[in-house]
Amino acid sequence: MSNFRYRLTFGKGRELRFTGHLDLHRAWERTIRRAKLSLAYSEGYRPRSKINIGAALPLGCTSEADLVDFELTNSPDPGELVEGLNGAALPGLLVSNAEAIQAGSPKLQKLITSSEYVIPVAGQDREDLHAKIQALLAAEKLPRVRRDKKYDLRPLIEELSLADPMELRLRLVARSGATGRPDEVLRALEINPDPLVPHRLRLILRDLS
Amino acid sequence: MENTGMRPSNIERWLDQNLLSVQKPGRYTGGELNQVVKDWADIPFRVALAFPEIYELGMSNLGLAILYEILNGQPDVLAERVYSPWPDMEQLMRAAQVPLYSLETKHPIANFDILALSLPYEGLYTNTLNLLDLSDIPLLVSDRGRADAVVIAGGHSAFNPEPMADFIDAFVIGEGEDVILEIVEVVRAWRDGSGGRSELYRRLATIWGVYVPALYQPHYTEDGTLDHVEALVSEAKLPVIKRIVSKLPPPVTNFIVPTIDIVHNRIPIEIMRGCTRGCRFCQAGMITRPVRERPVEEIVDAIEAALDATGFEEVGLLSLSSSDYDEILALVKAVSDRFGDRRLNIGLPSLRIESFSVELMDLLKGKSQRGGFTLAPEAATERMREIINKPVSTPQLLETAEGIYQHGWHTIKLYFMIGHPSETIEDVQAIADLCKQVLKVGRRIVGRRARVNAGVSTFVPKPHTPFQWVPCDTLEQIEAKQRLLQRELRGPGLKLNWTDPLETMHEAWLSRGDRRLGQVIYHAWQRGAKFDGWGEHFNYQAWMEAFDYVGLDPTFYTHRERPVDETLPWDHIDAAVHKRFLTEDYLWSLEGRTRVDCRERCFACGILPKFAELRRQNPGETWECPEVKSPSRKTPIETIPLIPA
Repeated sequence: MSNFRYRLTFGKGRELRFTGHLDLHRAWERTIRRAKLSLAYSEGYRPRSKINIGAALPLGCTSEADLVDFELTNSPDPGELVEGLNGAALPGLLVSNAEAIQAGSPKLQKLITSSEYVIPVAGQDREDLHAKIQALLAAEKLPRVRRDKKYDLRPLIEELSLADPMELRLRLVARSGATGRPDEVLRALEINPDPLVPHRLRLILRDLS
Repeated sequence: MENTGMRPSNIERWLDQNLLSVQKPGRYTGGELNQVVKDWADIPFRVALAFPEIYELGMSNLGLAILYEILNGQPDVLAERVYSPWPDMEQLMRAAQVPLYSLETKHPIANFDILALSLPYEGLYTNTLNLLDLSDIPLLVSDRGRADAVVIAGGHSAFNPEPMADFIDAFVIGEGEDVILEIVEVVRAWRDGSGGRSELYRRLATIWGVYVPALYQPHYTEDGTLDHVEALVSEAKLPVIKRIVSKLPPPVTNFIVPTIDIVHNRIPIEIMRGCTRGCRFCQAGMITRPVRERPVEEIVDAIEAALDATGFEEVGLLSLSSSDYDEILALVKAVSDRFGDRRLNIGLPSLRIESFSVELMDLLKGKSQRGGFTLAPEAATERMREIINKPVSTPQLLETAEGIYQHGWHTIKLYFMIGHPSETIEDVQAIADLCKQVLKVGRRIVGRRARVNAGVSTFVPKPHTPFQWVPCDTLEQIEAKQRLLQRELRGPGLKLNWTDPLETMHEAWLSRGDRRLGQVIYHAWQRGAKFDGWGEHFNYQAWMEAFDYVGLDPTFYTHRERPVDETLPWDHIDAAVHKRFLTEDYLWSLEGRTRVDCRERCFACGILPKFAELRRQNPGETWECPEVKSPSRKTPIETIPLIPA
């Protein structure tokens, strides 16, 4: 029995900014169940729901165009899917698009290369911040330690700029095993990340053509 | 009450800026699916529902979910949730002078009319004080005035309300479904009128099932035991009879769906309330009588509605003894027929030790994952089982275990208690032997994969049970018994869990404490005691110092054998089971005499005479007690009429 695979574009609002990746997985499963869609499960002793969220969003962030793939045992029309899921979604989860995907096509993790964030930073000194950004971009290496692991932040920053009104725009590498975190960039700019809410604008996928 | 302190928008902003610095910020945000948010300004009466533990535990409490639905079902009442912040969050809140707030609208708890706490067990007492303190509500009843929220508490530990009497304005003894709205009406009428707090207390005391400790004064004898409890005003009833609902209302289905993992992440459906088994150690079995069952159809429909509303993947069919539910086979069949293809994990706890239980679980589980199968023999020798009135024979247990392993389970969890009255070290050795016997059965059937997990807790005598007079084991006794088990139950396939003996002592002081213990709780809290149920947080030293400071001896409460004619601190609370019946049952236990399930024969425990009128109005299958035909000659329990809104 073959399943039908779908790719959804969704946003994660403020209500869900403290819901982590694993909990979001469960939230998706429950949303799909409430929408009465026939979610596919793996075979075996511990069947797993076939849901695959691309690129975990760091805790505290919001987003508007994240991606999730899941498999169903039947094939509803993508338009109905969006409607059904939004009707059943929990506060903070909003589906904007659904498309049917070839069963054997690559996983999201193999497609996503980077992600774009915007971070409102009202209250910062513009000149000062601008100088720090230049210094950061000029650096060859930015050695950092996260969870006792050493890594270099610099190659993970693809783009970083200051926009109007006071907000940072950044593009970070988002491949499995090499993911830039907006809070780490903020710390590198000597800004306390805790009160800020980075917002992920989109995920950038590898061009397969 | 009038809005004081921080505004919700300020609290919201503070949370936004600080939550990333605490563990599990999702505990503190609210905003989950199915929460009820009403317009604060539009709703004239507000209740904060509190479980004085972390979110993950509080969200798993069915009692509060029931009250949440009932209260929010009223057009002119709103109910919101609050739980205890973990110490990291508490520290931040105190530093920033942020008061405890409700999850739904972030209003300070002090701004609610009623703060209603669920207190199912004694381990929550210091957390209750901490919660009041974080809410800026005066801790002591005697310090509260007209403007302060009315603090009410219910749950099983309210059946001995005395240790918390200094801090709680009114206790609900028994079931909350009906009484909560009567309390709301009384508090609302008082708030909208004039009169001091004592006026409110007198009015609350007239409600069936409500105990207002400020209206009673305990008197002690020279040896420190209770002499009598004096009712200070005419409204204060002696005794206070517990509240029950005559028929279980349809179950809650619109559960809030948490967005972080919680302890019981499932749909809880109570299939039956009460228990007819009469295990002598079991407080729940005594205080939740009479047995009332929900019809199969109602349960199955509720599961369906709850699945649609929540999307949960797990359902718990709850009761004190699932096997005793009259239509258990029909229920299990209906559930597996209707939901078999929904990939649900259905829990049916508290099954009897018999092969029929294996058939039931087999039907429920289908081909799905099989975790552990739990059985609770509670004791391992025939002698002990007769004393505690849980007669299960060892051959029957082994036969059941065989069936479990044969039907595809690899792990059997066995629950025991040590510290039953007159238990010897041989009885404890028998626990270890029995676990090994079960493992041997498992090895024979599933080979090396067989597992036995033994959960051995320590018995704490509880009020309103036939064992309410017996001493609790001393630390030395408990430690010796645990050492034996730790020595015996090791090696491949065996696992042992036990309770920290110091935490057992804590439970033992409080469960049979009197009103003087309020001082001990207060001073222990002042010395930093909170989250007493969390091994790493339990501060034994603080409690010892508090006992010392107040001048009370903890062993007076734990290790003293009470004479059966002693006035007990909870004797003025009537759980509707005669003290006469409890005394007789205690004496029977000393002779090793057992009682059969009271569905087979009524032992006149006291429920029927007390609630004869209710039983007569609810004939047939609604209750498991025998029918009452003739109208009662006694005056029925008075209930106050609801004041029309």
